[in-house]
Amino acid sequence: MKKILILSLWGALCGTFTLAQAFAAPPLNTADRGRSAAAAWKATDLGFHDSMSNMKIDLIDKSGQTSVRSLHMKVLEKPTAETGDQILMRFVAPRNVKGTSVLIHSKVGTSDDVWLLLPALRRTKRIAAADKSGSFAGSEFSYEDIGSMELANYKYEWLGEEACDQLTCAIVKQTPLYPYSGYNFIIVRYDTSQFRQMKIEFFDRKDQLVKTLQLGGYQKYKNKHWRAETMSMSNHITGKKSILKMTDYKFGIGLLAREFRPRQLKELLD
Amino acid sequence: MIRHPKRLFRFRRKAAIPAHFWVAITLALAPISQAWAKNEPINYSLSGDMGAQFLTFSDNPAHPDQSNSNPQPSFHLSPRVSMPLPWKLDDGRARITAKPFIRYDSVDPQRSKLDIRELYLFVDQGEWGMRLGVLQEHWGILEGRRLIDVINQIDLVEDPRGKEKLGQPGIHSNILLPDGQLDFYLLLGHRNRTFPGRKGRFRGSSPVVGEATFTSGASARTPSYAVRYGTTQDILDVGVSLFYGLDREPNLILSSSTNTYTPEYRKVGQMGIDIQATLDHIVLKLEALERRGLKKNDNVSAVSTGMEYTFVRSIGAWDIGVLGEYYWQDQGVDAPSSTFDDDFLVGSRITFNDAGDSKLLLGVMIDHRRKDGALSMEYETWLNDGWTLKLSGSMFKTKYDNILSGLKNDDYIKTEFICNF
Repeated sequence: MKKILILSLWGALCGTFTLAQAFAAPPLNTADRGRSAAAAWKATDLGFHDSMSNMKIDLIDKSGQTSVRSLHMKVLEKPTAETGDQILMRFVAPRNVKGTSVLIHSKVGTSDDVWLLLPALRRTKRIAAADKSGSFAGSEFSYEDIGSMELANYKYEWLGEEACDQLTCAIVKQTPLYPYSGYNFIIVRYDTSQFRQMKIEFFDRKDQLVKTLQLGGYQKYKNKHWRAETMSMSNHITGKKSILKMTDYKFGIGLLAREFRPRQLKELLD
Repeated sequence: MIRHPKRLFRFRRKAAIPAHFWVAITLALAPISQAWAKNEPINYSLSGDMGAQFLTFSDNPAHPDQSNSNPQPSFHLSPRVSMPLPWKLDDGRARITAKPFIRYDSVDPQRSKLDIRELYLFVDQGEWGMRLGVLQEHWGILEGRRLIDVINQIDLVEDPRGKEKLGQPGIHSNILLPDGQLDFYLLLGHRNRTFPGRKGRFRGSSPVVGEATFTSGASARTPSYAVRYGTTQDILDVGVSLFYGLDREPNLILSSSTNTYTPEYRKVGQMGIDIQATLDHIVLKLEALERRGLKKNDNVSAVSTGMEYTFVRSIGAWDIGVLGEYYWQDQGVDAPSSTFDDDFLVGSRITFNDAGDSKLLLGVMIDHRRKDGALSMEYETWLNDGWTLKLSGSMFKTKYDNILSGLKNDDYIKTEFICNF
């Protein structure tokens, strides 16, 4: 009887310790949990150095009419900690815009720099930062959706977890810290096993849900980097939809920083 | 109605490309002919555009010689062929590019022409590059006036707004610096500005048809030199340029016996600057130049400034931009005069972000000093994969007899069907 008492006391003590331990180190707060989910996603991206791919965007209007844009895309991983990835896109089709190119220098903390190359005028045009919430190539994607998502550019809040397809997803509310975003906040679902972005909901300046992006067809490259093959953006206000397909990914090509210099854009014409 | 087929396409002798260029281009093409002979595949890219254009005028022409034809149809073809050269260059590449431009105009024979817009050998070594041949180079940032843009001559008969340029023979070399880029130009051979002929619209009562003359000991063979340094510093894009050679802007000398103008070109030295400040919402632009001739009274000072603000997604997906520009110029009595002496432009640019990538540009240009103005619009939309419809037009309003009054009956709408291939 005495033995049982001691044992149960011992057990209670152990339980108390565990409880005390739990109180001493409370679980991660929602901000840190959110941030760590995003950081785990970004970590799978680190060290890709550069990539090349073909991009096709189907623009689908309310009545189902489709028009297509094809681009060739080059990405250079951020050269320094203060700058983000650099993205160079060149229109391949339709022929009406062939050669038109867009250069984006993503930034951390401030607005991205964006340049356009207009081949008919042989002219490079720099766009004001606030214009990046505008439509990219007439699609439901804006320039800021196309640019790279840099960790330090958001405030995070972990909202919970839920099942997404066969996976579990962390739901993270991200509030842009850079100026002139078209969004008050976005809600990102990260799958908790492979840390991929599965779905993003975009809320406008009036906190209204305007767009939803579904990411799918993930492929793993160089044993580490996940890339979504299909990104489908639905606009809930207009009923329009844009489906972006990425194909022919290549990594580690050895792209040079100078190819991403705005003054070199004209060289693309040769 | 082709009466004089030989006169349709005229190559003016002075516009011809110097012989040594043909030698260089032929030498450059030699490896390609070799590959051809060996039956190896030739890797080239062909693109370009062609189109039909209809100028519709609201009134009969004001001057007696001008054609009554309304609309005035014309056609153009401008293919661009580019191919890599199989040269062994460590870390570099070489290409040859050709872009002719052919216009056939059914009314104004001066407008029908074959011009070589581009034909050059390009060697790219990364940190430096070189183009040799017939070049196109556009400087400047403002919408309504290209002030500092001096490398290529204006093809005014092709586009009365002066946005089209003739090919310029020369050598261009560019060097990438850590903070910017340095461009050097040696421009060989002068191109005369094109003007509408007797039958054409968009001219004053006296056409510019006389043979070009040159002052200050220059000739059509006088070379010109230019250098430009451009750099991007945070929100600023700055360019400083120097030019020495034949001014692209002629003095027009009226001959009272024939009632025609003769263009007269002179030697000048000029310094220009262009600055763009890309702020968060507003883009601010400045171009300025000081041009000095050899005479006492032929200096030109000019400044153009501009701003553009865009309301992104203001109506649905529409981006609506407002733009304002101001042009000022002061010149000596012996320098070519400009209508841009005290003018401003107020306009709006609408990007519809629709399936056809439709765009609309509306503008009012007002000459403060002469109390006249022009209202203009440009609209374009894709018809399908390849075909684009462009509509543009202008209305001119003049109060006094001046340069613009020659255009008082030339309010027009231009309908263009362009195919990109």
